[in-house]
Amino acid sequence: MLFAIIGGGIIGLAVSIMYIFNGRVTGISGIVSGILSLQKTDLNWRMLFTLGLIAGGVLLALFHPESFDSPSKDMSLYDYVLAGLLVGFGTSLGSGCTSGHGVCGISRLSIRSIVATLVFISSGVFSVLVFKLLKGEL
Amino acid sequence: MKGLVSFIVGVLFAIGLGYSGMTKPDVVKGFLDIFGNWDPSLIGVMIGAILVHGVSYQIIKKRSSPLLD
Repeated sequence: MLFAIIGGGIIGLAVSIMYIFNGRVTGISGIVSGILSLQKTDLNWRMLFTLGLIAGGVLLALFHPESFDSPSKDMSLYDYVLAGLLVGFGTSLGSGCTSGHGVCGISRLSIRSIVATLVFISSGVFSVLVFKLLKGEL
Repeated sequence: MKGLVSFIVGVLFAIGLGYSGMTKPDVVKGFLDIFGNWDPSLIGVMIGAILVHGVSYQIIKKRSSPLLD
């Protein structure tokens, strides 16, 4: 739990830096979908942010490999692609995700973001419940 | 300059995710599995992040413009 809170603090620091220097909200689903929308809307900083995420991942792999699990034996590559598609679709539909709504939105006491976060967390809880039921794990 | 900041923010964000365990699907799923083996870690991440950014936001929003504008 301590690692979680510290990691969260680092995330809070990161989005605060983005806000004070660039005046931008760090909603990752929005940033990535902006890249994919094929308009020239601030492509540079979006791509550099995404590159930063990947670079951070490389650093983690090198110096903190316990951050990663091996791929699940129950999932094929196609399962992961499908899961990714659903995440992308859902976050676009919901205009944001855990970083945009959950961190930035709640921090500014946005009712819309508080509601969004409660809804998508509840949906996630419900989804896990349904899958456990279907797999006979309940 | 804004690009460099964006890159650094990305690196920091990824480190925060990795250090907190959020890069492991089982940890995230564990938080959502409230009727099973519940893993509260995700709420810890939210609390840590909102504490830091919640305070920072109140200070930053008083500025008339971002530092790099």
